[in-house]
Amino acid sequence: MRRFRAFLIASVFVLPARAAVLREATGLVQVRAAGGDNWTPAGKTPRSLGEGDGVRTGFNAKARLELSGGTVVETAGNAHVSIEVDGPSHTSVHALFGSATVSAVAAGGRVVSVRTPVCVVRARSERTAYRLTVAGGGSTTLEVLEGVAGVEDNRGNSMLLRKGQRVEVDLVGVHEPTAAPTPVQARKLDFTAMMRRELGFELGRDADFAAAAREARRGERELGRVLTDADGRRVRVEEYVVRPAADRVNLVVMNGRDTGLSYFSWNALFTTPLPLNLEPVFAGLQGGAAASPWTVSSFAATYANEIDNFVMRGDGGHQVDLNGNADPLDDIAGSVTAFRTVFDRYGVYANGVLKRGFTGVNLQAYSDAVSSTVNDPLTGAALGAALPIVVINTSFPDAASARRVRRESYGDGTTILRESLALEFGGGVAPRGSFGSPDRNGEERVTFGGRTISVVIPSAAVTVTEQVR
Amino acid sequence: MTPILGVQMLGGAHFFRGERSNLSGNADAVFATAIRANDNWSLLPSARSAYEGTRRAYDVLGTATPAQERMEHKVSFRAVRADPISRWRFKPGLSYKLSFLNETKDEAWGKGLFDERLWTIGAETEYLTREPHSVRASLDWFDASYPNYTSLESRAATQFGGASVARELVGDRVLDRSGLRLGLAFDLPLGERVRLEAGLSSVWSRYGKQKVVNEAGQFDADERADFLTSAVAAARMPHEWNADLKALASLSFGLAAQSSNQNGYDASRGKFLPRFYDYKEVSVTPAVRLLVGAARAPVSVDLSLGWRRRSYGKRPAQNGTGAYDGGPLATTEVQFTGTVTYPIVKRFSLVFTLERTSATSNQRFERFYRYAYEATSALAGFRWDW
Repeated sequence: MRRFRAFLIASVFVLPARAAVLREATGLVQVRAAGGDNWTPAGKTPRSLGEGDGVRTGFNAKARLELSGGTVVETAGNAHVSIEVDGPSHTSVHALFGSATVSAVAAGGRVVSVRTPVCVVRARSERTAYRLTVAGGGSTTLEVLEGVAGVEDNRGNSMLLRKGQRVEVDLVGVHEPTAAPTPVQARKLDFTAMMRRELGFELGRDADFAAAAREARRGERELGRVLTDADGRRVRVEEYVVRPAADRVNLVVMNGRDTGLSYFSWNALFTTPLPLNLEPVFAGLQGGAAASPWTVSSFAATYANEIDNFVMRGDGGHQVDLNGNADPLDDIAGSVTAFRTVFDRYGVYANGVLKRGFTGVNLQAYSDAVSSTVNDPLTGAALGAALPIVVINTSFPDAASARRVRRESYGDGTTILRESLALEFGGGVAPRGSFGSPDRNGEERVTFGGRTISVVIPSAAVTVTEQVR
Repeated sequence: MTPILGVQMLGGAHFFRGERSNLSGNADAVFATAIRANDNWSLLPSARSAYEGTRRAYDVLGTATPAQERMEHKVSFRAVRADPISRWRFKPGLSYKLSFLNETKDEAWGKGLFDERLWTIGAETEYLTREPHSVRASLDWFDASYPNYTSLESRAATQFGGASVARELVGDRVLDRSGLRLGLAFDLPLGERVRLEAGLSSVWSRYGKQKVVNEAGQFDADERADFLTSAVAAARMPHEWNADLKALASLSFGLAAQSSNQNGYDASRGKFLPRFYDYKEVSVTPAVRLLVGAARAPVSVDLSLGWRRRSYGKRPAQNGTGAYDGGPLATTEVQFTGTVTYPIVKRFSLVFTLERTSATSNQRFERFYRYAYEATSALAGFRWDW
C-alpha cells in the first residue's frame, strides 16, 4: 500500500501536465472540438482542450491557453488558433488569423512552435516570448519580446530573431528584420494608420459632392448656356419665351459678357390665342403647304445691348401663298403651295430713329411694296425730313471665314453694318465652308454710330422668326 | 500629434478630338494633423490644395475646352470617437471648400463662372465587424453657392425695364443649392481570398432660386430638386504568380440615377422637354494592380478598363439639324486608365499615367456639348507621402 501511494505521488510530480487548458475567456470565445464542424461557446473556465481543438475570439475578446510544459498563448480579439500537438516533448499551435502573444518554455530540448500560413516560429531559448499577427493572405508579423525565436518561411529560408527584433513574412518569404517598435511606437503606428484611414474617408466624401457639381455644370452646357464667342471670350446665353398675353409671345436670346448684357428678341402678336404647346406655332412661321392656324399680325425683332438698340417692326401681317402670287422671285422650292406671312407695313429703327421702311395694302408680294419717304410706315406720322436713299450690299469679305456682311449705306452718310458669323465650338470664326452648318453656333452683329451690338444666337431663333427677307 | 502629408505633382497634356492643350501640370497636396485628445477622442484637422492644368479623362469633357484650369482648396475638421472596448465609432465633422474653374482665356482666378463655395457639416457612424472591415453610415448637410453665376434673365428684368424680356418668378442665383447627402458603405471578406466592398450614396439638392419650367415655357412656383443616387459594388482578389509578380484584381459594378423635377424648354422650337435631367447609368470596371519586383518596394502597374452607359429616359435625341427625331438620348463611354508607380527612395515614387476616353451617343446635335469624342491625357511626375 505504501508503495502504491509513493508511486502515485511520484507520478503526479514526475509526469508533465498533459492536458491543455483554456484558462481564461473574456468576451465571445468559442471552441471547436477536433474533427468537428461546430463552434460552441467556451463556457466555464478552466476547460480542457485536446490536440486538434480550435479556439476563436470575437471582437475585443481574449483567451488564455495553457499548454504542456508551461507554454502560454494569449489571443487578442478576432483571432483563430488551434492546437496541433501537445505532447511531452513537442508543442505546436496553428495560428490562422489575428494576434497572439506566446510565452514558450523550451527547456530540456522541448520543441515549442507556432505555425502560420506562411511560416513556422520556434522558441530557441529556454524562455521565449513573442507577439505574432496573422493578417489577410496569411502574412505574418513577428516581434520578439524575450529570448530568441527562429522563423522559417515556406521556402525553407530561416533566421534567428532576438529581443526587440521584428520581421514580416508573406508568401514571398521572410523579409529583413527590423527593430520592433516599442509599445509607445506601436501605439502611435496604430493611431496613425487609423487616422490615415479617416483622412481617406474624408477625402472620399468629396466625390459625391463633386459629382453633383459636375452634373449641374454639364446641364448648363447641354442647354447651350455657356459658349465662346468669335473673339474667344466666354459668353453666357439664355433662351426662353415670355408669354405676356394669350395671343402674344416674346422669344428672347439673352447674352451675358463681362461688358454687360445684350439680347435678341422677337415679340409677336398673333390674330388668335396661342396654344400651350408652341411647337406647331413656331414650325408654321417658316411657311408650309397650308396656311398656319396662327397668323402673326405684328412683330418687333430687336437687337439691343445696354446702350443701343436696333429694331425691325412689321404690322398688318396676313398669310400669302408665295408660290401662287405674281412674283416668281419669292417662290419657295419644294412645294406647290408655300404660305408665309406678308406684312403691309415695315420699318427699321436704330436707337428709335427710322432708317428705312415700306407700306402696302394687303400685299401679296413685297415687290409691290412702296418704300417710305416722308411718313413713318408703322404709325403714319409725318417725318421731319425725307428718308435718305439706301443702298444695300451683301458680301463675304473674308474668303477663309464664315462671315457674311450686309452693308446698308444711307444717303445721309450713315451706315448700318450687319454681320453674321458661324463660330467654332471652342470660340473663333469657323471656316467659310461651315456657314449654315447645324454644328455651328451663330453670332449676329449690328454696327452703327461707331458701336456694335453683338449677340451669340445658338439656336435657329433668327431663321425661325425672320419675317421679312 | 502626428502629421500626415502627401504631395503629387504631374505634368502632361490633354488631347480632345486630336486637338492638344498646352503642356501643363497638376499638383495635389494634402496635409493633416492627427491629434489624440484622450483614450476615446481623436481630432483630424486637414487641408488639401489641388491645381489641375491638364484635364483628366473623368471630367465633363463634352465642354471641349482643352485649355481649362481648375484649383481647389479645402479645409476640414473631423473628430473621431473610438472607445477601445466598443465596436462603434462616431465621427462628426465639417468642411469648407473653394473651387475655381477657368474655362476660357478671358477668365481670371476668382472670376470663373462655375467657381464654387461648398460648406458641409455632418457625421459618420462606423461599426467594426471584423477588423479592418466595417459598416459605415453618414449624413451631411451641405450648401453650395456659385458667387459668379447669376441668371441673365433676372438681370435683364431690371436692366431692360422688366416685363418684356423676363418671365415672372425668375430667380437670380439659380445654381446655388443646399441639401443632404446620405452615405452607406461596407466591406467584408468573402472566403479566404476575396474582399467585397459596396457603397450607396444619395445627394438631395434643392435649388432655392430655380423655379420649375412648365409646358408653356414659363415658371411654376415649385423649386427645382434633384436626387443623385449612386451605388457601387466591387470584388477584389489577390493572386501571386511568383515572388516577384503579384496581382490584385478587381471587378466593380456601378449604378447611378438622377431624378429631377426640372424640365427643359427649347425656346426656338417651342419644344417642352419634361424631366430633362433624369438619367440612369450603369458601369462595369475590371481592373488589375500588378506588383513587380521586391515586395518591400515593388513597381506598381494599375490598369483599368471602364464601360459606362447613361440613358436619359425622357430626353429625346436630336439629329444633326437639332430636330427631335430619335429615341431617348443615350451615351456610352469606354475609359482606359494605366498608371505606373516606380519607387525611387522611401516614400518617393515616380508616377506615369495614361488615360483615354472614347464616347459615343445617338445625339447628333452637338452645338453646345460634344457627345462623341476621343480624349487622352498623358501625365508624368512624382508622389511623395509622409
